[in-house]
Amino acid sequence: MLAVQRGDASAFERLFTKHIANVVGFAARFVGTRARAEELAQDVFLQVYKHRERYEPQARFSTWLYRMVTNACLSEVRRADYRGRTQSMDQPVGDADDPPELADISARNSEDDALSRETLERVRTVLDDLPPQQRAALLLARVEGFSYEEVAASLSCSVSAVKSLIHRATVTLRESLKEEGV
Amino acid sequence: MASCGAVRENLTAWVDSELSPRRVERVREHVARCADCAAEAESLRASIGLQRRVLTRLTAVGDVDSAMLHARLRRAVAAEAEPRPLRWSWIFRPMVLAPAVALLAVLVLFTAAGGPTDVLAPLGVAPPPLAVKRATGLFKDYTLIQHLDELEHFDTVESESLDDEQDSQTG
Repeated sequence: MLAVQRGDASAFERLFTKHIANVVGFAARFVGTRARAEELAQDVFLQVYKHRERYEPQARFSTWLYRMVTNACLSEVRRADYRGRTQSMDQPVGDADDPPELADISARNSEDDALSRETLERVRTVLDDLPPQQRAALLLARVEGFSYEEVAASLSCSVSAVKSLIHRATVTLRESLKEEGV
Repeated sequence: MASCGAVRENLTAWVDSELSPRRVERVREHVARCADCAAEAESLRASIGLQRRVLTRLTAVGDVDSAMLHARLRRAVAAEAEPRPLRWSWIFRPMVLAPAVALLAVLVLFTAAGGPTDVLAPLGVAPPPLAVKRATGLFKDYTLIQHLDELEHFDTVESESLDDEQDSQTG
């Protein structure tokens, strides 16, 4: 990121290539469609480029990046017309409008994981029903591997609030997995 | 010993190694003596491991065409960098133009009529003179005072009008 601040275009491309898939995957859990998630990710990276001078090296780049990603996702969820523009999150995996990359998750990984498509679908529904802040905190901690402090920085809240958000989300998800017999 | 409720609130953070050393000690002490909380901690530990795998798969989009997306981003960056031409066409829209012309006409007429004091004072809209504002008691009959000059010559006016009437009668 320091190279990007110095105006190194190839460094920006490397950062983009490294993070884009994760950002799109994260955003897709908030905006519903792959296409919208890609748009949102692009908007975020445009913001990163425009505000590159504001980045301070004491924070990890990914913390700074996900602060913007999370803000964009939560704003999107808050927008009144959100449901009108995106597909319903209640639609089952594999619907015609569903992004194939999301629909094929269980099929692609079936060899190395015994989780059934039904289990993934159930967890996905529970995840999408979590309050957005719980969802964001959980994904940042479990998928991105953020510490609670980094999650707090990304969500602009206290570490004790993050502790509570992650605990509640973890318990909710555990109960749904139990119901699936996993 | 801490209560089970207080400890359970901290169990997820404990499993995630996110508790302060002081709290870790308290939770560890409680879990060592409480079988229910120990089972709960074990259940959370197992579930968190599973959740990591499930959530990672649910957010894995795969096949992201990063080259295409980066090219799109580069175009957006270039568009941002370009100085934007000023667009004045919106000024000529009737919804904007008509009220602007009307406002301009009012301003011109207003100025031609002598400005705010001359136009508004007869209508009683203009603020009173400073002297009146400072001593409102003194000027409570301000309206009357404005006509003082006429009142001073009231007798003359009266007599002149009477003379006129008499002349017309004799004539």
